[in-house]
Amino acid sequence: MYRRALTALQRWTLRLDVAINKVYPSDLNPLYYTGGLTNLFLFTLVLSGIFIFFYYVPSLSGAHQSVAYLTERVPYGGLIRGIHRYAADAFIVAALLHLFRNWFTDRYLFSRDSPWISGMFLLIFGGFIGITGYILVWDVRGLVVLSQLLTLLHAVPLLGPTLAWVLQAGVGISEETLPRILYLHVGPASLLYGLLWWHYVRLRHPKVWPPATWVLVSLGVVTLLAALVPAVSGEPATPGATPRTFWLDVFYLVPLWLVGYLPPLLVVLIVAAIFIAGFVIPYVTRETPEAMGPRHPGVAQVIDGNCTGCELCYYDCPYNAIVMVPSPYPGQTRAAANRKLLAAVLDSRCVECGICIGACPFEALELPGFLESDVQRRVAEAVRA
Amino acid sequence: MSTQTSMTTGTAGTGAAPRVVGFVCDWAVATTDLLDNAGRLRAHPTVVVIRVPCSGFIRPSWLEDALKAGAQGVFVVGCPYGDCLNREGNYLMRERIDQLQRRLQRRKIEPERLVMMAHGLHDRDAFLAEVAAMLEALRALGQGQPARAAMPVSGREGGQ
Amino acid sequence: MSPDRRRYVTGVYLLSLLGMGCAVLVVVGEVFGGPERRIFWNLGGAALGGIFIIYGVILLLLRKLGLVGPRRAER
Repeated sequence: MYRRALTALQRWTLRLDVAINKVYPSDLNPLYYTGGLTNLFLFTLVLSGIFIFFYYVPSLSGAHQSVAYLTERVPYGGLIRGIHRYAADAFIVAALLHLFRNWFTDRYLFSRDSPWISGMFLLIFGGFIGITGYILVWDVRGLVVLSQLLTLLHAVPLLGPTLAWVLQAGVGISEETLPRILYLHVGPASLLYGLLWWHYVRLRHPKVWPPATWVLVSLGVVTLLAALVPAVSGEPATPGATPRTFWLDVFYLVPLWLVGYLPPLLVVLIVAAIFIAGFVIPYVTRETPEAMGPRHPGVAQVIDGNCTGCELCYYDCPYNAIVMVPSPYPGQTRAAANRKLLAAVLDSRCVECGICIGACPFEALELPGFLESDVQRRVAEAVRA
Repeated sequence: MSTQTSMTTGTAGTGAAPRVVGFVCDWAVATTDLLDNAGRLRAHPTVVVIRVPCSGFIRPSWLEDALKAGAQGVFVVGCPYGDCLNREGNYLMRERIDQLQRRLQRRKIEPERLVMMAHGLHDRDAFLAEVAAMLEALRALGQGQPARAAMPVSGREGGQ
Repeated sequence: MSPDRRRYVTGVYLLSLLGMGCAVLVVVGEVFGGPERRIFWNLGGAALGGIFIIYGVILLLLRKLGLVGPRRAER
């Protein structure tokens, strides 16, 4: 069932690509750069966030006023605020697209689980940063978001009260609350870069930025939106007042929205189940190993006697899975007799793609499930037929 | 549809149809329902497809060997540029094929005999069209096996 | 010159003109903008966003014309 659904989703994802590639040159397809776009929006958020940080006053009486000052009096302050607001939305959209696309196109297989797991952490922290951002505006919506978040946290078994205490820095909303929320907005945002290091660490030449065209267009769309539909605060928050209806960004805050309809414990369990399922995804493959055929040829092996230590495989491996070690003894072939280095494959990083085999002109690497002799036999058969 | 085309190409000239070996990345264009049991394309029976884990897996010397062994053309199919599952496999292969084409050109082997293609899993029509265009170009180059004739005595390539 | 190419070139020229117009709007927003007339700042901001988008599309068209980007990409 899961496997069939995933295969269907993969088909539709890639059919969409066929259509998009008719319009753009294929290496400008924006869907190939969802990760880079996410990173671009994060960078935009950091820059605009630093600007806003200069004006923000984290106190119960000053917060709403300082945001209003930024929006009304500071030259282009409203624009920067709008950019921060819409880039945050775009960040989550791009991150979710990145997640779904990589899920549907099998980009979690074998040792690609490390980027996947770090990606789930990035999603959790990214979402949390977004929610605290809503609270910081300290209008009616912010207050409702905070109280609903507190309801959710209180519903967490055992840890609940402690988590709520950490979030509002004490019992109940006090003068300490907004500085704490501000810290919980900025701190995890810095942590994102630590997690990004983990996200990239196994990748050689990760595609961190989208092509210039999409950098300009996405920045432009965000700026244009920020100018045409300015981000505005609601009524200032007054703790204790009953909030009236207001517009809530449902897709961003689904869990908080659900609190209005379901018991909080159930919502907590649903959210937890979704994230646990997310962590399990890379370990449940769409196909059985037999069905994968040439896609699962086993971890690359170095043919010791042939390796000349030329480092070509080391430069081409996209996953940093090959390291060069000092050669303990000379190789057997003439080319390898004077080698100084020897290639070694780190099994825990190899994704069985075989790119090192193509890089090696000395026949010093083989995939156990797809030997060079197999290829040559099949080429010979093909030519004879 | 495929039976019809195979009929026409089959009768039009089995002798004239150039023999071609294709290496297809298993993540790229899906060929399961395009192939017969022997791994030949139904639409072009002289084209044999070998599926590989990634286009970057292909060692350029294998392509050269295929030409030397009597194939009149070789092609490699990777995923669309930018969409390689390993990010770089198809770019690396494109570079290697460019280099190999230059190297072969010095031995009077036409670069048209070596084609790099990029088609996604469900891009079958574009794939078949490009294969047909390649066969057409090979026919225009004429029969014979310049690969074998023009190859200098150097027995084993690959080293350099 | 093929019809496609002609269309792309025309597009680049039109978009450059439009981008010039946006630049003028940024200046207008800067001159007339002030805390009391924030609408002009928004005008300037929108024009800035417009410039980004227009330059992005121009780059895309230049790429389709083959004037920028990897030379061998679209053989």
